[in-house]
Amino acid sequence: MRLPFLLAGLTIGCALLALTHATAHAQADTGLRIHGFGTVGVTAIDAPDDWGMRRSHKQRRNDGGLRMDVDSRLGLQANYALGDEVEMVGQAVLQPQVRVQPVELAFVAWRPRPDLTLRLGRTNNDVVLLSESRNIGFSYLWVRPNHDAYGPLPIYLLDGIDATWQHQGGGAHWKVHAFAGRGSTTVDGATGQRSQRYDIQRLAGLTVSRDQGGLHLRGTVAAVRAALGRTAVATRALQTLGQVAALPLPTVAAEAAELREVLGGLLDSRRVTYVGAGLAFDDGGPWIATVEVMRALSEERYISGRFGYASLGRRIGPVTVYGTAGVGRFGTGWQTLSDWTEALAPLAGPEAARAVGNAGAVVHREVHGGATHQHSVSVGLRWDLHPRAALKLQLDRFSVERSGSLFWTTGEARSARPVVGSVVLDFIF
Amino acid sequence: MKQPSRCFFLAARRLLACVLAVAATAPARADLYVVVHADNPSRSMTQKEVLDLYMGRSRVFAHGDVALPFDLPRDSSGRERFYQALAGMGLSQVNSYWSRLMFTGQSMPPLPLPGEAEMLAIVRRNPNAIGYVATEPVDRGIRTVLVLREPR
Repeated sequence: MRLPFLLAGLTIGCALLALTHATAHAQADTGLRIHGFGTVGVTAIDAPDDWGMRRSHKQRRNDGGLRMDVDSRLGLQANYALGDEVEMVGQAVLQPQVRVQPVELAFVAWRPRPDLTLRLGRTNNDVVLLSESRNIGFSYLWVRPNHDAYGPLPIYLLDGIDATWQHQGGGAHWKVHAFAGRGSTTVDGATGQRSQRYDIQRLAGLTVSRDQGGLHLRGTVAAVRAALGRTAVATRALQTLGQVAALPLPTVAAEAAELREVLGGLLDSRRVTYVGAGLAFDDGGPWIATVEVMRALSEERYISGRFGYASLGRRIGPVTVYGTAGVGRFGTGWQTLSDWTEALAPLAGPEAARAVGNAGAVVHREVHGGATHQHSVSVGLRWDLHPRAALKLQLDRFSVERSGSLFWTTGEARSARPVVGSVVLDFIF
Repeated sequence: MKQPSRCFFLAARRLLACVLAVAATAPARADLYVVVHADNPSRSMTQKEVLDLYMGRSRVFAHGDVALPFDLPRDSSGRERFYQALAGMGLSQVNSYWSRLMFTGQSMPPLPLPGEAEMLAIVRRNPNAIGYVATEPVDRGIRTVLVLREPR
């Protein structure tokens, strides 16, 4: 099993601390409160040899096997209250990622009125139901948020400002949350040999939610301007594609022109609008339900998409059994590229043709590699074995289309039906 | 004539013994007392008002003053009884709920105190404090605003 030993040791140690340590006394005098959370998890996958499970684009593609680096993570948070109105919060999370970005939260909150909170600094976006709590396994029912929906979502941290207004009316609790900022994430390149920066240049959104009797309803709209980080390699690739597009080879030239247009579009700032709705029900009774749908709307089809999932759980004492079904389609999907090397050899010579052919294949893969076209069915159970720890078992059966399979592999695109088994221990302390 | 009286007495004694046995095995339902400082303008509170304060949905009393809710130790039976009576939720559910609010930076749970003695001490000296105890307080500096019955 693969996981940095330090992270594994820290996570397991904190799990033991959470299960055995008596509650810490109030730190009322200092205003400082320190808490943490974590997950120790193991996944196994039954899939083609070069396929592997990962939670998101922020993790490297892998070749499967028994792994601890998919779900394991450890978080530590400090809250410092300066009176009733001002609070400082910092949170760091250790988890295997393409590029380690440990600081998840770092903000100052000001509450000029009890029903109004303003925050400035690094927060998390509120674009989808579990945007802010993806890392907090103990707070939700499943091993991980639905993979069809949350796997390909590229929005994470947000450096900016947000305002939350809360209101009690008609027996319901209303919340209006406006947020704006920018952020940057490093994702795994589709070839698995390099990483790619994804810049959220501007994000502004609004979420309205209503809580009553255990039923949580929400609607969100968010406008994003985003781009891949423009590198020297990408700039050279654009130049090369421009030259190939001018060659007297109709098929290759057309493909090169399209790739140049798509790559240029990804590197330049493009607008995406997210529109979504969610429902979560848990009144403490035996039934738990979650439904969520989201559309990513853009003129550029390679950054458009939609997802939806529904989950139903039944609580039986300390155990909750559940089932989930989901579907997600992001990006244009894989399309076959002709053999540039063979076509270019008579014109450019074998070595140059091979170099250009390889470059075209890499760009083609990078452009389409982020697409996900899949649906899944999952069953699992959560056992609350301790007030601050939960053991979860989950079995996922995915149906992945060839056009959206590169999220799972650095190998060739193909359709498959991977089965993933997971066991995790979520805890807080 | 004496025999029927004696039979009746024996029967009554057996019946009484059965009743006492049933009463002894039935679980006792205790009250929990939600308390505030005697100078707090709140004379009484509804279960929903207390629930909103302890679940982070409100930060103020009905009269508008800031509320400071306090809790018992996180894994304690007293805390478990309180949330079961208040919200019908077990400790795991409560902790799961608060972990989402806390670790997303939205709100912090009520501050846990070592025990009921400390709870009463803080409520006695802070007009904004609200807490709960299992024994009806007799302190003049403390007022009970809600009595919760533990569910069966």
